[in-house]
Amino acid sequence: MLTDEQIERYQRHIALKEVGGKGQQRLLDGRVLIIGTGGLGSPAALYLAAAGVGTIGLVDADAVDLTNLQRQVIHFTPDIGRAKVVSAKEKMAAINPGIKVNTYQEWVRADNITGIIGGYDFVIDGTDNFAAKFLINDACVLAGKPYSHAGILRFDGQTITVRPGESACYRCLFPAPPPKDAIPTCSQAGVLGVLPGVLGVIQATEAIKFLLGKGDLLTGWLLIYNALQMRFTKVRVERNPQCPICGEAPSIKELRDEEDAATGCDLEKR
Amino acid sequence: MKLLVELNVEDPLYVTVELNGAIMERKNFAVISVKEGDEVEFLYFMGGGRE
Repeated sequence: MLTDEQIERYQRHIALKEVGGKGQQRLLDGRVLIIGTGGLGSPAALYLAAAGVGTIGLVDADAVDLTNLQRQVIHFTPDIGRAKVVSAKEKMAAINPGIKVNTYQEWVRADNITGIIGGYDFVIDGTDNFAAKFLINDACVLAGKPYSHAGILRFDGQTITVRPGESACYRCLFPAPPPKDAIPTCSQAGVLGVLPGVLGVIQATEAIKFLLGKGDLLTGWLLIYNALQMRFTKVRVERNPQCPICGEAPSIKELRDEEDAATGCDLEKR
Repeated sequence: MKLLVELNVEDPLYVTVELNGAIMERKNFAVISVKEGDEVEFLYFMGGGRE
């Protein structure tokens, strides 16, 4: 049962026929895990807290750095040096004291990720490196956990939602991480500060739609965004029968850390 | 492969090629041919924005 305060707080949601009191209750009963409390995770965490997602997990071992503040909007200047999960939890509690925020001040690894994601309905990948991105994909696919992937660089971003066993996963698209050598780091390549905001809010939207059971998830489509041209492109992505984890003859049957993967923000050598 | 060269895709290791909606296997890049009307998408690796 929603309290009077909740009915007032979530009135704009409740007014939507696709949400209503019932949908708001689903959000309040929902559990979303956000891995990475940085550029993508900041807006996702703020909006999911505001929306009344009842339990939100935050995973990040990092502390706030001055260079983060250009885009990681959940952290403020006085937070420099503080743990990101602690800084983020404070802001979320200030927006909405009625939700529960669980913090995991650690990096995801092959030996801890399955336990962490197990307690959540939906996972948001807001990490910045390929080792984590592949690990999150593999863990979610093996656990059958729906999740949202996003990647960003410079003025470009892309995102896809994965329903394991039903829609294409990250490895259907990219079977293995790019090699470690000669990949520019994010600090070298740069990223427009508002870019992860756009992508992180799309990821939060997917989580909310998933919890509500309304609309169409971004499954089977890779959404590609270019901020300079202000162009959104959707590319159809089918499940890949050769996929090493969700294909017909998967070679990956257990989690491992991608030690050789590039750790930077990465990528396209252009 | 010629298309990758023509479009100045410097390192094919960093790109996934989709032809008419299907992901092409990297080892076949050299032998896949593209005809008029085919839809080709180049998908690039993108990391995150934390650091």
